[in-house]
Amino acid sequence: MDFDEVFAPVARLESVRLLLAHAANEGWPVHHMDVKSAFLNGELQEEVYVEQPPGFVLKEHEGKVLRLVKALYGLRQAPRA
Amino acid sequence: MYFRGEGTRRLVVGVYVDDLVITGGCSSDIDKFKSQMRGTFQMSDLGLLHYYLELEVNQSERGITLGQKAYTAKILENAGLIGCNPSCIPMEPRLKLSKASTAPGVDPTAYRSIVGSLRYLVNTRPDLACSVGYVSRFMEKPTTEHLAAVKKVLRYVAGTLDYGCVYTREKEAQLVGFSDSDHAGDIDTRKSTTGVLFFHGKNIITWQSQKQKVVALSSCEAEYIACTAAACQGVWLTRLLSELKGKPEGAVRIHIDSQLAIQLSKNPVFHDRSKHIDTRYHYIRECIEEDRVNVASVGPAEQLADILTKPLPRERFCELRDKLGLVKIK
Repeated sequence: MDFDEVFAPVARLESVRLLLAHAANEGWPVHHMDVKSAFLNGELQEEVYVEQPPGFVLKEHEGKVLRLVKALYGLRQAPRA
Repeated sequence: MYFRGEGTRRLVVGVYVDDLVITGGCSSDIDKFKSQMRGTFQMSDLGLLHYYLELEVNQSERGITLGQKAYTAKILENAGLIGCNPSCIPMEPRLKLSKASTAPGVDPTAYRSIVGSLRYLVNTRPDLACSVGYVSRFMEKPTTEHLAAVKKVLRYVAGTLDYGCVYTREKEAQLVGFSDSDHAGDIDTRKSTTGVLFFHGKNIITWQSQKQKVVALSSCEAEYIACTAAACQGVWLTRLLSELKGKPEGAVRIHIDSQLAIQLSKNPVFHDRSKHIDTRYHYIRECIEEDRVNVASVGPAEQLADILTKPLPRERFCELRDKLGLVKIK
């Protein structure tokens, strides 16, 4: 399997401190938001297949696998998808 | 970091994986951005920022404070040092430890775990940068001597649980840097330690205390290497700040207490004492020539980065800690 790039785009804490200092300087309020289940939002660019999960096997397609459209937790590509 | 708008309508968004920090001059712009985000992703709006990556943030009329009290308490609990006798300084002045210590060994995993968690604490505690950097050098094969130094840091931390950074409002704030170095402080390799510190006005933004990668032949050379590290940091901060503001920033000033290093940084003449210095450390000259950095002389007493290069006696340590703007957060 080709993992391509697997780094996650993240802010450095130094940048966060500069952002806070700048906000304090300007008297701006700082708000906070959080993405629910961020990893499940990413669209995959690569072809990744999973086995059918136990209990969710399609009848008459028992031998087949599923192709992922979106990222899953545990996937190497997930942090940047 | 992402930006949009200008002047009072400037909107700035910092992204850390799935956490968004949003600030700007216009609250309806912030609300508009939030609802756009909610329309695209499943988001929770956590209101004003008060807790972010183990950092406790407090916003009030007077400014923003940044601390890690709960995280610090957790470190002390894991190390079994709750209720220990606090210490006034994190490391004894003139303490010299060696990798080749002959004292009995200690569990490396436990040592690394404590030092690792202290390293994260340095995010709001520049007063710890030097001592935590020093004990990190012995991760490979720690002994009881090294662990005793770590316990000293923890006992200092226990007495300063609620210390942190404070950011206040200030007109015409400029980026200002300090760079300093000890000379041959590491007894195993005779390498020196760089200390670099940047303020935006009175607000402390970044600090680093790092063993240099090469052996400096003189204290001037060690200072020169440190000021190049400061130039790199200063150039990056200038760029980021001008992006935050949406307008270009002027040259960043770096304070150095070595006249020789200042001369060396301005004068492209090579002589016997400097001809061996690796090209990469002459980056500072280029920055000065292109007017991105300027260097200024500062007396040793006013050299705030001193606290990042070596363990200081109590009085000097507390004086510099105050000058860095580190305060007890209520």
